[in-house]
Amino acid sequence: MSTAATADASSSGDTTEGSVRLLTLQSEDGEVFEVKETIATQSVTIKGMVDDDCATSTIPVCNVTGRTLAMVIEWWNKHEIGAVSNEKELKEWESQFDTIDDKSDRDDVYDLLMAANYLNIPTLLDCCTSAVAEAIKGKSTDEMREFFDIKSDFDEKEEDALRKENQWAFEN
Amino acid sequence: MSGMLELPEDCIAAVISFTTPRDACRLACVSTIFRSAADSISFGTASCIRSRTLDQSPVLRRSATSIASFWLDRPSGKICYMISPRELYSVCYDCTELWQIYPIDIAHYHFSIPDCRFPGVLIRFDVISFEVGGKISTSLLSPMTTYTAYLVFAEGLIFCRDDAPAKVAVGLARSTNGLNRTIYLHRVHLDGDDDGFFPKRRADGWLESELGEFFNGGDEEGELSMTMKTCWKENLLIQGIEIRPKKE
Repeated sequence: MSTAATADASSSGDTTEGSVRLLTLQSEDGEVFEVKETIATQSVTIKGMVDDDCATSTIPVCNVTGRTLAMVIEWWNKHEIGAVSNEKELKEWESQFDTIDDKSDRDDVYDLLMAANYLNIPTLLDCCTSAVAEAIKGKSTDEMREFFDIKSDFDEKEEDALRKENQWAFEN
Repeated sequence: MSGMLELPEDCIAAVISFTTPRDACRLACVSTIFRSAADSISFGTASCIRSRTLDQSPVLRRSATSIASFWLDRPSGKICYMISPRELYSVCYDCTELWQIYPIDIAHYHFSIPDCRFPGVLIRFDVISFEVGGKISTSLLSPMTTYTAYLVFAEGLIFCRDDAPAKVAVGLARSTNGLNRTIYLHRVHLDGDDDGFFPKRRADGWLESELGEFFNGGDEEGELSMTMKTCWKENLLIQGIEIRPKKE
């Protein structure tokens, strides 16, 4: 995506644009992104690195693909102070994460969750977790399994016991 | 593409914390990882549910994961907490700091205690007078609920004088209408005495002593303070202070 454009920057890793310092992030699959420090420090992990002076060279973002990292950066840009004029506009933009009935949307949200967890981005983590929680509202356990694409790993006895213990949750 | 199963348990716990208690129980039946995430949702995620607007001190959130643990009472769906030894405060009137936090594996080795929710236990070694207590914000508790607070400790105090009871109090911090009671730690509850004066044996093998009750109306935000003052006890091993809805 932006590999070529930033190849130059990745060699020094610590460039400035005007007075704003730029950080270089590299995704798991090798894509390189340049991000303003003021924006990237929405990630607590990156902020810690900057504070400890460990962000002078390219920062590897393991477990996160370039595609996902691009989405994360879009998130940061939208959530930079002053980037969006009002709260309502931001909420509208965030609402695109709310409908995840589609399998591909779901995968995106899982990837974002993974990235938000690794980079420790509280706002993104909250948005994704609440979107997933919203999507499974009122679903039965079997429907939840289908939604998460998970098979039960309880044995029959265990599952019976669990259902008994949580009986009240299965009554409508 | 990553699936839900590849997510760390923390993330799954965070998802569960955004659901209703009913959904959370159904989620717990999905698979083993969901069950363990549902069973022990960390304090940090608990504070997320309370305020959807994210707190500005995520570092605190992070380090808070070992401070207290929270779960939902079934079937009421009300929130329960256990405050860990690290979050308890302790005062020694003899001015020597004799409280110690023991890592759980060492405590297991020395004192053969039952399994524990936290990575450490609090131990008091001497016999002089002391106070121990904890605090929790009422905003973290379910509204319109009467809670009971318990001190959870291990059986087997080496030295324990019968005539040295413990004074316990539960109430809003800085308020004077806290409830004061007297309890005894020295012998386990027997059939017949149901006034909460003596410790009861818990399902997890620990003992618990009732510190008092508190009605959380939900309209007033404050800090609930729970304390115990006593003396002449040796080898008092504390797992934490548990707050759960009073059984009707």
